[in-house]
Amino acid sequence: MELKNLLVIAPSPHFRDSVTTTSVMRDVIIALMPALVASVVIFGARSLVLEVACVAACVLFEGLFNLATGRKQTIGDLSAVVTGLLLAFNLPVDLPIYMAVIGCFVSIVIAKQLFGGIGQNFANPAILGRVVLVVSFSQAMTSWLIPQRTEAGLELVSGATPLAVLTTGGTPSQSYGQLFLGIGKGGCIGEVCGLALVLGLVYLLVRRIITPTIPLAFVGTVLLFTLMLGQDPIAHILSGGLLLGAIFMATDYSTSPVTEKGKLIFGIGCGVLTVVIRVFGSYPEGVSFAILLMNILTPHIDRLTKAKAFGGVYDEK
Amino acid sequence: MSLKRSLSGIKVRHCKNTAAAPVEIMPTPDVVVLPMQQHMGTPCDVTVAVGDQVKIGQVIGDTTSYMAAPIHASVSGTVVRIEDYVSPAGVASKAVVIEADKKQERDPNLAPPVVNGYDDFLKAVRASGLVGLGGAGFPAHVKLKPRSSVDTLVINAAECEPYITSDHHIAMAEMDCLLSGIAAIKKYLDITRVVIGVEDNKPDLIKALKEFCRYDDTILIHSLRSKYPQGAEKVLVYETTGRIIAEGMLPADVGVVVMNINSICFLARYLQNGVPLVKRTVTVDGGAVANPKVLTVPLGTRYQDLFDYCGGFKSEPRKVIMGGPMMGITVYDLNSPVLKNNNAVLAFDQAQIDGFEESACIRCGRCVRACPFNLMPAALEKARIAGDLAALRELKVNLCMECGCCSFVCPAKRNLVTSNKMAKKLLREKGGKK
Repeated sequence: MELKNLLVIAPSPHFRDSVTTTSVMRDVIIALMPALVASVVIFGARSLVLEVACVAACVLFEGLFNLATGRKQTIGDLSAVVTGLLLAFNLPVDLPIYMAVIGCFVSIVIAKQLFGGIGQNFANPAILGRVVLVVSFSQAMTSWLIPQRTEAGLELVSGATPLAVLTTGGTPSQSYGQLFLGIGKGGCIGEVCGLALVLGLVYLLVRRIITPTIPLAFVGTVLLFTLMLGQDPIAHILSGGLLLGAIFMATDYSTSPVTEKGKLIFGIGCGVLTVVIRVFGSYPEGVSFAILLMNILTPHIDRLTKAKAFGGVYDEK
Repeated sequence: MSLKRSLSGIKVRHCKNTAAAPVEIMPTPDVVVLPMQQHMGTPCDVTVAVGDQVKIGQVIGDTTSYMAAPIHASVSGTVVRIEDYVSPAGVASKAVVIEADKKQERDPNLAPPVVNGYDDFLKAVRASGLVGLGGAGFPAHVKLKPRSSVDTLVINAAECEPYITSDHHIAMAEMDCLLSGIAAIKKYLDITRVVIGVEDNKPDLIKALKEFCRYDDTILIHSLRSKYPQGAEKVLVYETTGRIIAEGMLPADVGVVVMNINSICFLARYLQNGVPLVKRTVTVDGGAVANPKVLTVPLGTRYQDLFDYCGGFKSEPRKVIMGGPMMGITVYDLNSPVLKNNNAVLAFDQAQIDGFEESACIRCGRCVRACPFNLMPAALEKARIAGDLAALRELKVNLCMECGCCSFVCPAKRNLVTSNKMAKKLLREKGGKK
């Protein structure tokens, strides 16, 4: 056979795993699908409008930023889709679309791209987007609609979330089962159905996208800490954004530590801060702030938890 | 059962397509190219001249340097050229080109070595031209004179790289040689225990070895989980003996000598018949090869001749690799010769070279989890790009064995192991004293 091309000279290894950045992001999107379906079932079609709008805005902002700065186009890696979905999951169902789009701008342009794009951001983009929306549009971001099934169909009635009840010393009216399934419960569209989120977790673990360390340490710490404070730990775990945060937000690669030891410290820190904010702070929800604060500490945790090499000889310090 | 934790590693496709194929003896090629550097250490000097008639086993290159092994003519014929040669790894040396007369006459002076003690034994090993046949080509006579006293011989039959089957075939065919080779090494090195490490993807070899060694209770057959890189020296020693070869140590410092199974079989043959290392068994495979085969060929046989014998290419070869896909080196020329430590020759087609485009690190931590030595390849890459020598030292880049697990698992397809190699070079050149 006549050779048409020169032989390729390349460094080893000449085999590569089939996992790519895009396939990782695709798996995260798949893991988010149960929660997406649950949001539409629980809150109606407006949820889907919000989700589609956020995904579209995030992808658009990422694409435009890359065009404007002459960087390589990265929308194909699907990470902007993940950010869009996660931000939408953190919003109330009736939030005006323009506000959501502002959140997307903060997430993609400010939190992610201005710091160098994927892998370089120090703060979780979706969380920063949410936090900016909470402080900018606090009225719209903290008024909740509770879905109620009536003869006429789905009705959304404003009311308090179980977490707001819980953190002001009351007892949520819903059973644990209702809290876990997201029935008759107000909250952000993607956080209310614990079952859907846990299904996503199982998928992420089976596909080895994440290790269980951060979710377990986060939720476990909340459980122990609230128990010590005499609160209802199960209600704490099943209310608010804890499961969404612990499974999908705190496990973000860029903004959480690399080693398992680091992840453990990170998860415990998230748990402690969440409970402190929920129980002692003026905000009912502390998950976003807790994760954001731990994001800031991540480089330091990484520095303290460097892996020790097999057979490595280290100077005594 | 011990409680020690296994080292990390990766699952790779085995691709042992030629495991059941018979070993074929390839007809003598028209020409062989014998570089003077086929081992780790000092290159040999050419000891023949253009026009000389040579016979099989005749020394054509040697040196007085300790860290070297002589080179022998692998065919009988005429020295037609002494040319400049650059190895696929970029090392320049001379190469002797011999045109085969196809008579395949052996040097009449070849005779079994007379061995009356350890010194004679080491001399014989050096004279045989033996270097590690499985990996880096470390001269065997150096390895067999350990700097500390040893009690254990670890035999590497892991063959953890995909595609490669040559050790497997040799071990199955030459089991009696294996035992006499072990006996010789035990005799001269005060070895009390022998462990043969085999990956469990070769159940036939494990079964046969157990059967064959059943009367010798100093020989243990250790079945290793099929997980790359079980055959890497430090990994193999740890998995089979639990001993940790720490930073700055050699296997001998933990009482171990490690040898490839194929090397031991060869050594036994040499002690019996005195024929030096002039041929080897090589796996020829890869997506572009029409009929993958396992071939026994004279050293110096050119890759083009191997591929021709395997029915040529069924698709255009885009990447030709000396060695396995994990650690093998790409060659730039199909006239590259088979070297002593060259256990496989692979030709990959376009489909096998796609999907290697680098993108940004997403900090997923897969490289850290995959590294058998618990290094942090992504952090090392950052430190290297920043020129941070202190961080490179602290993160122990010097311990990297260059197995390639990090690059393999990286979803962003970053060339992490290449970065480690560059970082090690940077430390050697600029690092100075610690």
